[in-house]
Formats: sequence, structure tokens, C-alpha cells
Amino acid sequence: MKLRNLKKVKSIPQICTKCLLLIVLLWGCEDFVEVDLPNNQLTGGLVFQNLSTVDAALANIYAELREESPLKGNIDGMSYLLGHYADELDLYNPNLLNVGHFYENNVLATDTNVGNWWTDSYTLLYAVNRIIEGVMASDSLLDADRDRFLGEAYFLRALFHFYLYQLYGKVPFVDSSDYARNSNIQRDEIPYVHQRVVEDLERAKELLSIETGDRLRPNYWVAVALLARAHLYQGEWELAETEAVDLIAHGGYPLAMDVGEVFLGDSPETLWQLGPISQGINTREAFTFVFETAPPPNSALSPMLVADFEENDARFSAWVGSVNDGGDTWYYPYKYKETAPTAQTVEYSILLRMGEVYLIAAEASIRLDKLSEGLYYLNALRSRAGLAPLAGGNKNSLLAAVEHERRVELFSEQGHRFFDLKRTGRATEVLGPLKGNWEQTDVILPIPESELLLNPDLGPQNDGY
Amino acid sequence: MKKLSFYVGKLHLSLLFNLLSLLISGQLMALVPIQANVSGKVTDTQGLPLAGVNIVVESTNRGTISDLDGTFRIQAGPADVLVFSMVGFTSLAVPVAGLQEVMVQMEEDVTQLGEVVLNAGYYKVSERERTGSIAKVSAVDIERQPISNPLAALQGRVAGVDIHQNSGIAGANFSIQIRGRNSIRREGNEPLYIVDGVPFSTSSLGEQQASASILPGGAVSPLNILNPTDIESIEILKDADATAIYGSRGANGVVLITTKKGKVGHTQVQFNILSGLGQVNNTLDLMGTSEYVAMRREAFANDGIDPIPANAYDINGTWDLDRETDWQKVLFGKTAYLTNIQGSLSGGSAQTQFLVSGNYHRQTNVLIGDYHNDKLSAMANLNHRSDNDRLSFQLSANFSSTRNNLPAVDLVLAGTSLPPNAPELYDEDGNINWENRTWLNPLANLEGTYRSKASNLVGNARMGYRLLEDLEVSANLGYTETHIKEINTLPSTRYAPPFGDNTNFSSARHNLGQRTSWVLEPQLSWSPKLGDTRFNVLLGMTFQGQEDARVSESASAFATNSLIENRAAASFLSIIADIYEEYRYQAVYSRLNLNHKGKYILNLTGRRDGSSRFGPSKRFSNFGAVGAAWVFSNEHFVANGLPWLSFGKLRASYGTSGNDQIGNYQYLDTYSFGSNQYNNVVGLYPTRLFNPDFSWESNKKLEFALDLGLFNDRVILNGAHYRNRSSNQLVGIPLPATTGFSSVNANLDATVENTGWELGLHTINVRSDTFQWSTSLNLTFPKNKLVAFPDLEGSTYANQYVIGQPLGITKVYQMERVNPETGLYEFTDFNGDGSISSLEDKQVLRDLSPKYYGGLTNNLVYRKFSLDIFFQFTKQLGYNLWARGIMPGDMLNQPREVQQRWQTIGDQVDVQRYATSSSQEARTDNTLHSQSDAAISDASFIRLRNLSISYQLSTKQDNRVGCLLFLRGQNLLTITRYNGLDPEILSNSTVPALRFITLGTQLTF
Repeated sequence: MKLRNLKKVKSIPQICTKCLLLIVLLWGCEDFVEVDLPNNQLTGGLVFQNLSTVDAALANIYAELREESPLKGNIDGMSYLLGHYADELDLYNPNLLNVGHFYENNVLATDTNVGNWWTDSYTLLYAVNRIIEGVMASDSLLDADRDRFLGEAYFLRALFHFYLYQLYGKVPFVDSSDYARNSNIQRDEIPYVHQRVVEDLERAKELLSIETGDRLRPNYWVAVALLARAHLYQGEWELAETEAVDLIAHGGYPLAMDVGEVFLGDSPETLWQLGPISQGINTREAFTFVFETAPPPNSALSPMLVADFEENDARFSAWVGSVNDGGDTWYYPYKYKETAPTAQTVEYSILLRMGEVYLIAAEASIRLDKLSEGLYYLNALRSRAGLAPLAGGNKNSLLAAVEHERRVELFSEQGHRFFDLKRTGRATEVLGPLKGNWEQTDVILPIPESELLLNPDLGPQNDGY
Repeated sequence: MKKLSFYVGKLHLSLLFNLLSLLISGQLMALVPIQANVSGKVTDTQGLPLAGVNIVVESTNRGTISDLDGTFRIQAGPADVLVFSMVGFTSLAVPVAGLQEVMVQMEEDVTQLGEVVLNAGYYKVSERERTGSIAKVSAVDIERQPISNPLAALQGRVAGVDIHQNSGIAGANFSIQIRGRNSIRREGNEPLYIVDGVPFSTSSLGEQQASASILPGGAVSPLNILNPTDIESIEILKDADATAIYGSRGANGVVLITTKKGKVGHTQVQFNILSGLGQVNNTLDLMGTSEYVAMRREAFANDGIDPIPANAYDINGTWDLDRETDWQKVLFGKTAYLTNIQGSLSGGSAQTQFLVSGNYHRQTNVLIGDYHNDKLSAMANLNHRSDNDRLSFQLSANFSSTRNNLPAVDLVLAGTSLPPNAPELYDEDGNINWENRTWLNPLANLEGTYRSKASNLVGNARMGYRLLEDLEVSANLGYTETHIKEINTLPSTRYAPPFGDNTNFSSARHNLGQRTSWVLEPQLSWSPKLGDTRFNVLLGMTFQGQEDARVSESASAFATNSLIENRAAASFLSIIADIYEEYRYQAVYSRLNLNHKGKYILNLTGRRDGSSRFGPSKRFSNFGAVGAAWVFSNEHFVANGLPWLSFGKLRASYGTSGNDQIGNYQYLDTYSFGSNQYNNVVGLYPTRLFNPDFSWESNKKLEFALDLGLFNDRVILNGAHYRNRSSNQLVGIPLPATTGFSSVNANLDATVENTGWELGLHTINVRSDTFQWSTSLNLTFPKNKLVAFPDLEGSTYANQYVIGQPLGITKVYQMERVNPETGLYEFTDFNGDGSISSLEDKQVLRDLSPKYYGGLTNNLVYRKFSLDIFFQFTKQLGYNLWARGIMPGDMLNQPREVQQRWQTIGDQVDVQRYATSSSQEARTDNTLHSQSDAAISDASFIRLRNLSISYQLSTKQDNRVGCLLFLRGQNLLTITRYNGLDPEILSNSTVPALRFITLGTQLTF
């Protein structure tokens, strides 16, 4: 017994040593837990080494503009909600509570859409900044491709910020993807944001091609159009005029002479439109606005807007639809007509078109006291609509004519009417009497409550909320 | 894969190297002292030979098993002690005392603790000597229940384990929580499953878009594919002592599933055949046509609408006002049939045992239409040990496959809300009746189907070699493979014409998923004895790899609906997901167990883990636990002073385990391809904000327990108190949107605490030769609390959780009354702003987690009759019928209780006035009501979960053919005040639990 125990004890250290050796040998291979990437993902660095992957990263942003952004054509996009917020649309469906809040100008800081528009915009801005940073750092792209990518990205960065400060007033201008920095970012003054937007658009102009292309991606002229609008909204009449007139003079985008063609996919006056998710799919706008039963299942055009159309305005017959229940008639925006898929896509959501550019040129000219030039651009649109040209008038009456023309030309498109009333300072004057809840402070939306909670540096909340 | 083979190769090499060096040094031979062959025979008290008795030379690993005739042969020194043990018999220690032949008689064990051996995963431990919290449910209890999911077998049987089924639909999943919710993330609370030593991932391979609508909780869980009757035992590891050896995956407990093994004995053929009938256990008490019509008319009168509008088809004369259909009966009132046939062949000698078995299970549904769930499974295992008992080998393979065929949408909501005078389902020609498009025929949903086909293979091999008498090396090798194929069709015919005829509106979703995983675990166990102290040392390693692949597609617009399942016939095809993921896992683990005289036991466990789910700097982490037990009944003063105390043990444990259920690749900065397309380019989007530095969730568990056996173990009492604190919570830290994302994965300094008491009581009430009666009770009082959460207010969890409250709370409005003047609900305006709105006015907290739960089993045996009665109970609150938000007065049928509504000014009632959908105020108030405290009420229940009567017609020993007849019932009776369909499922839009009665026989040849 003794002998046995002795031997056993002696062997223990040796066995332990061997075991340890075994374990150390195996444990040494720590990279056992290294794994390959999943097949549906690419590392960030790799994306920017390749032309087609950068292109795909940009494609995703355009697709998201269509699917999840303030510019989408659904019932939670700006075209629909800001139509109710101003005086374009009346709500008939009481169950659409979120729409009701906009319709009654009773939007809270906790509002879903207020939150989503903010969140979706900044989410896409992150993607845009990643592209700018990635393309800048990439050493394997051709110069021409690099310029196009950067140009599109700067354009998109300007676009998102443009709508953000129009909607929310002071907003942070986000120009990097660094989340540590962006998580306690502060709001920038409007002039600063505007200046950055203009800078980005100027940069985009330098980088983008002047060729027309398929109109599904922004080019030089698209940047020009947005720049014209940004200057106009900010009251920079000369700059607005220059850009708009440049674009008209370029001649590459003539007005569609038949109003029935303006919203077709091959309309010559379209500067930029969003491609569908797959061939044959048409716009969300048609699905959102068009109805076939009375009373309207959701919303209809406000009778005042309907009344604002002059007699024989071709736009009324071409762009407004109606339903009659035997007694009453209800009207709806009928710019986009295809509610169902077609063999080939025939209508795309148009984000920038010459109709607006003519109106920018007209207004800027009139503001600069070039009344006859202004009248020329205004009448170009009127005659396209089959209306008699305006003979003339003083500055104020012509500005009123521009406002009227904008109302009937641009209705139900991305909230033009609301932004017009806001920038001209006429919102309270026009909407106050119409809408019981309207308050002066309603010209901007509240900063989403949840965002203020997450980043108190965004405070204080906008007045009135 | 290259890497893998490299490592496996290296492992072999190093093993070989070590073995060789051991042999060369000559010590292996020298260490084994010269020993004699000892042989003998084991019999029971009546002198009949006992086969399969475990015989071990004390304090060594050397052992054997007695053969069919009870004989055995073992190498032992003249001074050694042989220990004989077998389940159901009292263990016996017999000194060899120089003899060459030892005759042993073993007594049947009448105590309950007996020699219960628990599987603790990497090691085994006896019930008496365990230091950790391990609960066991064995085949006897599992087999008594006509169930198809292994988790169902555990319901109510184990303290601290809360299990409920998600739906009564065949193939639906179960939810399980062991000792409460630890993780703030809802999806991070699954336990770790190990089947025969092989980690088993239960995350679904299904595609949401294909299956979510019918099966609550997603597609078929891989666990569901396992056949419960193949299971020998399920052990649940709960405390730190038991789970720490599973390290980073043990935080939510570990479920060990062990399949049946062959036993020593004559070759035996067994058939188990049962069939049964099932129906939903409850339906709602709904209005009949006359009551319904009266309600609708009153609603229009209340809203001042006259005449009845054109779209009120139910009462304006469009539909027959005299028709009455019990839609619950029609849509989900069918009888489900259950058939289960099992055959097995087993047997073996002392050296080699085998078992093969096959099982077929079929269950039809209670839903209208022909739907069923079929399962086919096969199992084989082989055990072998060499003549000199040095080499042992086990091989087992378990294959199961299931086919499920279901409608695309559940019909319970339709069944409980269709107006009773709604039209016929079919027209005269047998087609779906649309009644001139005045209703949505519920059968429209049956036009589409959901079908899934899943299979699962678990293979396991274990090889062990005893180098020295107390030193064994072994290796466990496992492989699993799971496949799932799903299709969900949505043909245009589910719409009324004209859409119904337009096959452009037809679509189908396909999903194909596959998972393979392997595990390799070399292990070294050494069990020396020094004086009166036994040591058990275990050292092992784990290498694990898993690959998941899934392709989901959507196909739409077909030339004809008959080709809807053919992707080639679709006009549009799009990929929903194409995913391939890899997971790698590596660990070293160890255990040191000290047992001094069977009185003082110390158990130390530890594990170092590495997982590919974490970034390079956070890949490895350590976990460990200490457990101690004092068997005070073995102390002289107790044994002498308290003779009625047959067993007493105090135990305590403390330690850490972790949770890595975060998903793969989360630490990487990547771009993903989604389904978003722009001008024929598929979009590539940044997947996440990346943080390479997040790490495991860690869970500190503390437990104190007392186990007592009284009156010769006729009464056994277990009490345990636990406190688990889960911190370093792995959550998405909320970020403002300006960062581009709503969160970044990181460890949040939040702490969730689960505390609770678990009580168990087992008594043998009567024990005589002809009659035995025993009772088991288990009871759990859990408590969950969010202890800390920095910046909760600013986080996305702000509306969900409150510090100091359980994670199971929900915030609701406070219903005050029905205003006697207006007849509408009124709620407390907490912030006093004049309107009832979300957040500020949802101030009432309701805790939906159970207050206590448990089970009570009575087992009675009288001669050849045996009766088992098992009750399960839970005390809890739950969402009731009102939470559905169906407005009294709307064009939907209602429970009769709404008739206690407000009618005239001054009425003091609980239900608001009948109103139509055009009354916005009533509708708003009704919606608020469905989110108020009135929609949450007592959902406690006592359920007769299982009743089993059996009669042993003959036994194999006496008649050469054993025949057992049995009658079993599941969910036979539910005692509850719950206002809804089923207090266990707590959803009023899915099929409640089924009540099954089955009849069967077990034949043994």
C-alpha cells in the first residue's frame, strides 16, 4: 500500500504538467474564435474600394428617400401631412389620429411623425457622411467616379439639412459619422445651417455632371434647382434668380407643354425623380391620394383649394380627380394616377421639376423689381395650363399672383404650400382664420421629445411646444 | 474549415504525444498494482439475479456492470472495497477481504432519495451529495403526458422554472424562464440547452414574413422537433454552482436533455401505442343573434343614427336576422386527433448495450379545414466497455423530422368576433361565399397555407480511457444538423372578386434554413482519495462551431394560382434574406470537488470562455463558482439526537455565469445588403454603429438551501432561497438620432435582480405491499426587480421599465368609472392637462409576472392499478378580453358581459354605452379602456394538467408478454376567474390549450 501511494504521488506532478502542456498547446490557438464575415455583409472599409458597392450604398439612400424619409409619398410623408397642416387637404377619416394632429395643428413633441422625420433624416445623414468619409479615404476609385459619388453625397447632405431646418428651425448640421461627437451635438443657427447647405450644393455643382442622364440620380442641374430654392426661401433673391434663370436658359429641361405629361415618367421638365422598388411599381402618392368611394375614405382636397383654380385651368382637369355620391362631390390630387402596378413603371415620384424653377425665377425677379421678367416666367406656366397670360400689375399684385400660381401648380407636392406661407410670413394671416388651433409658433415643428431626453444639449424646445 | 482541421489535428497530435510519453516513462504500467480477479453474483432479496448493477472499486474509477445472470468479474486488490449500486436498490459496500468470490444480496430501496444520480453536464453527482441546485424530471413523468414538446413535460414540475405554451396549435412553441428574467433585452433570456452533451441552439431558423402570423413566437423551434418519449431525463441547472461550468452561456440556467440508453438485460421489444381526442378547453360566452341585434340597434339609437346606414349589413336587412352560428364551434371547435406509435428494441450484456427506437406522432388541429402536424423520429445508441473496463464508448444518434401544415392565419379572433348572423361560409356551389362583398369570409384566410418541414439530427460519441485507476481521459464529440423549409402562400382568392380573380395579387414566401454545429470536448478526470477525503478533479476544454444559413424569397403575381408554390411561375421574385453566419466558441473548464466523509463537501468550478460574438479585445472571460454542502445528518450528534431526521443538508453557492445571446458579428463595422432596391441596384446600408468593445452580460448567483429527509426519508423537504443579480447588461445604449442610429451595443451599468423562494415537499403517505400513495408539491415565489438603470428616463426603455419595479410591469391608464351622465369611460388625468394621452397619463403600474406558481402530484398505486393526478397552478395578472379593444356596439360579436352596459342617465355600471364606430369619443374611450387597468385582471389558475390511470395486465416476467393499459388526460380541468380564453396562453387571438384524452397500451416482449 505504501509503495503504491508513494508512486502515485510522484506521478501527479508529471501528469499535471502533461495536461497543462496539452491545454496550453490548444489554448494557444486563440484565433480559433475568429470567424469569417457573413455573406450578406461587407466591412466598412471594403465598401469604398469598389465602384459598385459605393453605388449600392448611395442607391440605398435613394431607396430610403422613397421608403422612409419625410419625402415619401405615403400617408406619413410631408406631401400628405403638410397638406393637412396647411390648407390643401381636409381629413375625413377620424381613425387616422396622427393625421388628425397635423390637420388640427395640434402636433406634440411626442408626435410619431415629428419623431420619424427627424430620425429618418439623421439616419440617412449618417449614411451620407460615411460615404463622404469613405470615398475621400479610398485610394482605388477613379477620379470621375469619386467626383460623382462625392457630388451626390454633398447634394444629399444639403437636401436633408434643407428640409430639417425648414421643418424644425434650428437644427444641428451633422457633417461627420462620429457618434461620440454627434450624441451631444448642439443646434446650429438657421443662417449657419443655410450657409452649410449652400456650400454643399456649390460643392455638388463642381463635382456633378451636367448631362441629363436618367433623372433618377441628381446631376449638376438638380443641385442648381435646389440651390435656387434654398436661396429663395432665405430671401436671397439675386442668387435665387441667377440659379433659376441659368437652369431655364440651359434649355435641357423644357416645360412639358401638355399638363397631362408633367407627372409621367418621361416628362421633359423633370429634374429628379425617384425610381421604383421594382419595375412596374408606380408611385405611393397615387395610392395615398386617389380614392373611388364617397365620402372620402381618408382625405380630400379642401374646397378652398378647389375654388382657387381659375376656370378652364387645364391643371384642374388633368391633376384633380373627383368622386360624386349623387349629391356631393369630393376632389383629390390626381397628379399621379396609377394606383396599381403596370407592365412598365409609368409614373415616378418627382422631387424637383421645372414648373417650380419657373416660379422661383418669377418670384425672384419680381422681388428684384424686374417685373417684366417675372411676368414672363409666370405666364410661361399659365399658358402651359391653358390660361390667359397676366397683363401686368404692381409688385405686390404680381407677388400675390406668384403665390396663387404656386398654390395651384405645386399642390400636394412635398408641402410646398406650407413652406410658402411660412417663408413669406403669411402663415398666421392665412391659416389663422381657417384653423381654430393655429398659433404663430406652429410655423416650425417641435424637436422630438425623445431626442431632447436623449440629448439635452438640443434644448431648449422650440417656442410653443 | 481549414482552421478547424488544423486544430483538430493538433489536438490528436498532442493527445498522442502525451499518451506516448506517459507510456514511455513506464509509469503507466508501474502504477497499477498487482491485483486479482474477483468474481461473484448479485441477487435481490428473493434470490433472483440482478443485471446491470454498477460495481465500482471504491475511490477509483474502476468498475463494471453485472451481467444478465447477475454475475460479475472485476480486478481488485485484496484490501479493496467494492461498491454495488443500482437505481431502486440501496447501495452496498462490500470489502473484498482477500476473497476470490463475493456473493451479494441487494435490498430494494424504499427511501425516496435513494441513489438518484443527477447529470450535471460535465460530471454526475448524487442527489445526496450535490452542492448545486439541480432539478430532474425523468422519463416516468414525461411519458405520462400526451405531449409533443419536451418543454411541456417540465410545466409545473420544477420549482423556479416558469413555462407556458404560446398557443394550442399543434407545433406551437413554449416559453421558458428559469428563475426569472435576467436580461433587459426580451430575447436574451433563453436557457442553454444541451442534448446528450451537444449544445443545441433553439433560435428559430424561420423567416418572420413566412410564419409569424400563425405560430406565435415565430416558426417551429428546433426544440419542438425532439421527441419527448425518447428522453430519459431532463435536468435543469439553476444556481451558480451548477451553471458556472457553462460560463458565458449559463446565466439563464441550463437544460440538459439526456436520451434513453440501452440497459443490461435480455433483448426486449416494446411497443407503445396511444391515440386520443382533443378539443379546446374553453370558449367564450358570446351573444346570440337576438342579443347581438339588440346591441347593434341600441348603438345606432345611442348615436342618433337613423335610419340604419347602408353599410350596417348585419342589421339593415342585408343579412338574415334570424341566422345564428356558433362561430367558435365552426372555426376552432373541431376535434383534434392524436396518435403516437413507438417501438423500441433494447438489450445488452454487461459489456455492450444498445437501444433502437422509432416513433410516429400525428396530431390534427381544432381549426376548420384539414391541418395536421406529423413527427417522425428515430434513435439509436450503443454503449460499450472493454473487458478490462479501461475503454468505454458511447454512440448515440437521434433523428427527428416534423411536418406542419397550418392555415396562414389563426381563426380564433374571427371565431370570437364574427356577428352571429354572419352569412354562410360556402355558397350553393361550394365556393367561398362573399355575400355580395358584404363581409370578409374567415375562410378566405384558409385559401393560403403555411407548411413547414423540419428535421433535426443530434449525433454524439463519447470515448473514455482509464489511464490509471483514478484517472480517465475522455472526449465528447457532437454534431447537430437542423433543416427547415417553409412556405406560406397568399393566393388572390383570399380576396373577394374582382381582386380574387386577379392572380397578380397572389404571393408566396419561401424560406430555407440550415444549421450545423459541432462540438469537441476533451476531458480529464482524476478522483484520488486522501485519507477520508475524496477528490474529484475535472479538466476539460470545449471547441464549438456553428453555421447558420438561410435564404428567404418572396414570389408574387402568378399566371394561375395552381402554380403559386412554384417560384419559376412568378412574375416577381425578390430575395427577402440571404444569410450565412458563423459562430465559434472555445473554453477551458475545471471542477474541483472535495468530499470529506460524506459530510463536508466543497465544489469549485470555473471556466474560461472565448466567443466569436465579441470583439477581439473582449473575446475571453472567466467565470467561476463555489458551492458547499454540509450533510449534518451524518454528524454523530444529529444521528444520535434526532433519530427521525434521516437526512439533512445545508448548502450554499455563489458565483458568476454569463450571457452571450447578442447575435453574431455585432461588434463589426459592416454594411449589409437589404431588400431595398433603387433602379435595379440593391441597396447597401451601414448595419449598425459599431462598438468593438462590448462584452458579456454577467450574472452573480447566490443560493442558500436546506434539504431534509424525515422518518426514513418518507418526508423530504427542500427549501431554497436565491438571489441572482444580472449586471453589465448587454443592451443597445440609446443614442439620439443625430448619431444615425437609435442605439449602440454596449454594456449598460443596469442591474436586474431575481430573488425567490423555492419549496419542495415529497411525502410517502401510505406504503404497503398492495397500496402506495405518494405526494409531491413544488412552489416558487419569484420576485424580479430592476435595481439600477442609469438614465432610464432618456432611454428607449423609459416607457417600459421603472427602477425598483419588476421587468414584467406594464404602464396603463387608470379607469375611473363609466360617467353616469354620458355613459362613457372616464380615466384619471394624471398630468391634469385635460386630455388623456399616452406616457404622462399611463401612470398605473401592473406587474404581469407571476406571484407564485407550482405543481402538485399525487401518485397512487393499488396492486396493478396506478393513478397519477397532477395539478399545476399560477397566481398572476394578465390581459383579459377587454384588451382586445373591441367596442361594445360595433359590428363584432361580444361576450355577454357587455350587456351590463350604461343605458340611461344615472346608471352606475362598468361597461360604457353601446356605440357605433362613427362615434369618435366612444371609440377613443374604448381604446383607452383597452390600455387601462380594466384590461388587466386576475389570470391565476389551477389546472389539472395531467391525469393518468394505468393497469398492468401482465408483466413480462410472469407472462412473457408485458401489457400495460393506460388512460391519460391532459388539461382536463381549469379552475380560474380569468376573463378570456386561456389563462396560460393569455392571448385571446390564438387557439387555447387543448384538452386531450388518450387511450393506449404498452406491450413488452
